[in-house]
Order: sequence, then C-alpha cells, then structure tokens
Amino acid sequence: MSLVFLVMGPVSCSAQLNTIVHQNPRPDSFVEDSQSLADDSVRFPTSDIRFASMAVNAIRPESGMPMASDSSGPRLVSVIEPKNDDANRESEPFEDHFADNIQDEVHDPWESFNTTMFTFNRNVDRYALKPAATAYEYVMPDFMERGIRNGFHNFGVVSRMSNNLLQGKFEGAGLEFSRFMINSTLGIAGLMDVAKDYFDMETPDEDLGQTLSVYGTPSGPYLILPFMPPFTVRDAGAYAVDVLMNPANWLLPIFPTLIGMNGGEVVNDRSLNLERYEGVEEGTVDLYGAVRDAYAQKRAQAIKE
Amino acid sequence: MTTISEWMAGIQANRNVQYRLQYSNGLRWFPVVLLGSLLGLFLSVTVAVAGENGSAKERVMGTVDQVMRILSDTQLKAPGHAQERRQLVKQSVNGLLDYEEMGKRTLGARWQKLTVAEQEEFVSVFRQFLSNSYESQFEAYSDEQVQYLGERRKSRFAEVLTVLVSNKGEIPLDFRLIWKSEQWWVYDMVVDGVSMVKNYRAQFTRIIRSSSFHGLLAKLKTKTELALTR
Repeated sequence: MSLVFLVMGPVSCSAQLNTIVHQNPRPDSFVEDSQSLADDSVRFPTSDIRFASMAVNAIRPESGMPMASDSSGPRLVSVIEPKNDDANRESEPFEDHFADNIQDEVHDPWESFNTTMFTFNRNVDRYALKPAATAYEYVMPDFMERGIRNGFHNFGVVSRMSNNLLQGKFEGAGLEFSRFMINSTLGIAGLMDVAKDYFDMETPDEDLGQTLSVYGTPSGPYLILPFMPPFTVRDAGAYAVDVLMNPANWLLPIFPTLIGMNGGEVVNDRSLNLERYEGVEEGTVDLYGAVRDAYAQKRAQAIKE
Repeated sequence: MTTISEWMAGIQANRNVQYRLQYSNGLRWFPVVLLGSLLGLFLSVTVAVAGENGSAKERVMGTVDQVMRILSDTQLKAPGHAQERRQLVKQSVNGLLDYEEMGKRTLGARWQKLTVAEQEEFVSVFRQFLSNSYESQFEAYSDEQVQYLGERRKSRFAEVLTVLVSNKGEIPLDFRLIWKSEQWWVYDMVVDGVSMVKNYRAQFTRIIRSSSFHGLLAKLKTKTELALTR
C-alpha cells in the first residue's frame, strides 16, 4: 500500500539519507526538547537509554501468537506494560501498546541554521541530484543498481564488525564477518548479497554513533550540514571516523577518485529511492520537522537492534 | 518374565476392569457430558478469540489486496479513468483507517484540551488531508507486493507485520490496529521503523508552536487544496 510512502525517508539530500537508512544508524538517546509536547510517553534520562532499552527488551510479547519469524529481528518492538495495568489505562486514548514509549524528539538549539542548510540541501536534491538520479535510473537496470549498493555496503564491514564487537555483540560480529566472506567470494566482490538471499544471514548495521550511544555518550544537538544527511553532533563525528575506516577509501586515496566514488554511491542510492521519496513533500505539512522526527525514530530503532 | 506386549495387555485389561467397575453404576455419562460441555465452551471461546485474532490480519491483508488489485487493473490504468481509480482506492483505504484515532494521537495531550467542535473539525480536516495527499504515491505503484510476516495482540490492540517487496528492495511495514465498534481499525502505520503518527505529531507540534492550532488547520486545508488541484 502506497500510503506507506507518506513518511518514507525525508527528501533532504535523499541519497545521503538513504545511506543512513541502509546503515541503520545507531538510534540515539536524545536530550528532551524542553518545550516538547507533554504526552503520556515515558521519558528516560539520556545516559540511561541503553538500560531502558535492555529493560524493554526483557519484556517479551506473549507467545503462542503468530509472530515475525526471527527472534533477533528488528521488527519485534517489545511491549512496555503500562504502569497501572487497569481498565483506566487501557481506555486512555493515547496508549500505544506497541510503541516504545521512549520520547524521541530531537534537541535542536540550532534550528535556524539547520533550516537554512535543510533548504539548501533540498534545492541541491531538487535541481541536481534528483535529475541525475532519474537519468541514471533510466539507464541502469535494477539489478545493477542493487548490485552497486551491495558492493558499497560490503566495504563497510570493518566499521560494522568493530562496532558490533565494541558493543559486545559477538554474534553480530561473526555474522558480519561471514557475510563479508561469503559475499566477497560467492557474491562476486559483494555485488550479490548471497549471504542474505541463500543463507539467511542478516544482522542490523552498527556504526560508531550507535556504539557511543550504548556507552552513554549524549547525542548532542541536531545538525544539518551541506550535502550531508541529518546528523547529531555525536553521530557526525562518528560518521567521519566510520568513513576513515572504510577500506574503499584506503585503496583509492586519490581525492578526485574518492569524490567520484562516493558521488556515484550517492546517485545510485538516490535512484533506488526515487519512488519512495516521491510525494513525501505532498504528504507532509512541515517537511523539516518530518525529516527531523523520522531521523530520530530511525536512530532510536537502530540503537534498539 | 512377561514380554512387553503381554505386560501392556495386562495393564489394558486392568484398566478395562476398573473402568467398568467405576461406571457400571450409571455415572458413566458424567465424563461424557462434562467433556461435551467443556468442548463446547472451548470451541466458542476459540471461535470468539480466533474471530478477533484472525480478523486483524484479514482486515489488513484484505484491504491491501483490494488496493493492489485496483492499482494493477489494466482497464483503470487507461487515462480517462484516473478519477475513478482514485475514488476506488480512497474508498478502500477509508474502510480500513480510523482517522479519529489517528488524529487524536497526532495531537497528543492537546486533543483533550480542544472543544468537541474543534476536535471534529480537526478530524475532518485531517481526513481530507490524508485522503488527498498520497495519490501521487499510488500513481507511482508498480508491482510491489506486500508479504505478511506475523501479528501480535495485546488486549484490544493488534499489530500486523508485513514487508513491502519491490524490485528495488524491501521495506518493513507494520500496521497498528485498535478494536473499535466490533471491528479492527488501523490507527498507525510504521514504515521502515518510522511511525506515521509520531511523525505527524512532531510536525504538528512544531507548527502549533509557531502558529497555533488554527494555523495548523489552515495549513492542512491549504495543502489539501493544493493536492486537489493537482
């Protein structure tokens, strides 16, 4: 159902945002916006977000119901039992039993700067990136676009594996390693995601920003830089480190080649998301707010995984 | 030493004797009656529970299939039928979404501070806005499939987990439903981890802060008109 696309990936520098989407960046513990809506969401202090996540994950939905297949899957949003489990609570209109009640509105003290940058990025997308991606998409077959995305994704194994280890996720680290080995050999240098399609080996992407959040680093203010997807200050620094850890960037340390390669990745990602982001602007009344919130939600989800 | 089969035959014989002893006095129908009534009770409960349980998935997948059929109908794809196509899709979707529950949650605590008239106005404006804003995405539809993955239930809330599969990739899509007026209604959709209700709540909060509740209504109306004139 295409109603779906209403909140699909924000438009701002969509390709880079898509990079976020695929890297599944670490969901954050955001500092509360002091003017945020006072609703019934339970709030957790920033540094305790990971304990809250762990507590949340300890509560499992009742068994015996048909459920999503894998147990480690990101889609099993744990149910938080309402505090007073009586009839009053149930009839409370805003009780959303499947949502994690962690408030994830972003701290945005630099809003005026961010909105300027946001508008700039949007224009870059509208006048440069989207036309390029449309032409690209017209020429390239789907499987090649997917292949290129898989290839770039494969390169990021160093960062993902180290971050899995740093968070103590040994199973995830092992899976990343196995996926890399299988995809690089059977999957011809990572072009085909054989590990996922035939061996069912998948693990959520980890990055340094998520690792830092698990260690309790506060997320810092929301920040939008030109030509970049939305970030928080912590995640921006982490992203820089992750880029340095990407082997593709070591093998080709010549600056113009790097720009070309990363630019190619950006255009490819944008072309994969042309339909997804189509009409996002029509479906939102406040695009900046929508992007900011979607970013916050995706980070929160990625941290939980 | 008896063989195992002889041993088991012996036990069976014993059991038969005991059974006959126990029920020869007319009490023999009691377990049958008890079992019968328990079974009846169990069945009715199962049916009732299954009725509620199974129908969340059926509600969602039924509407999804209906919409997909409309969108892939070759007759309706012809240029003259665009309006008709849109109407049909709208009807299907309106039969599944509960705009009031959705609207309530997008306003959060502010909902209760509104007068009844304002609440009704908001729900109607919100409904118009949503109904008209996603049409361009429907036009972009091309052979996506929705695969059902599972569902969860908690009292009168349910969540149906699916994935939207296309040539470009897969997008997780979850529907959240509430049991209201003897039916399951969708009040939220979580696309790729982003909850629609939360996202709208963030947008509306920001707008209300800068231009009040009536400013929000005005903006929604403007957007709707834009969509209608497209």
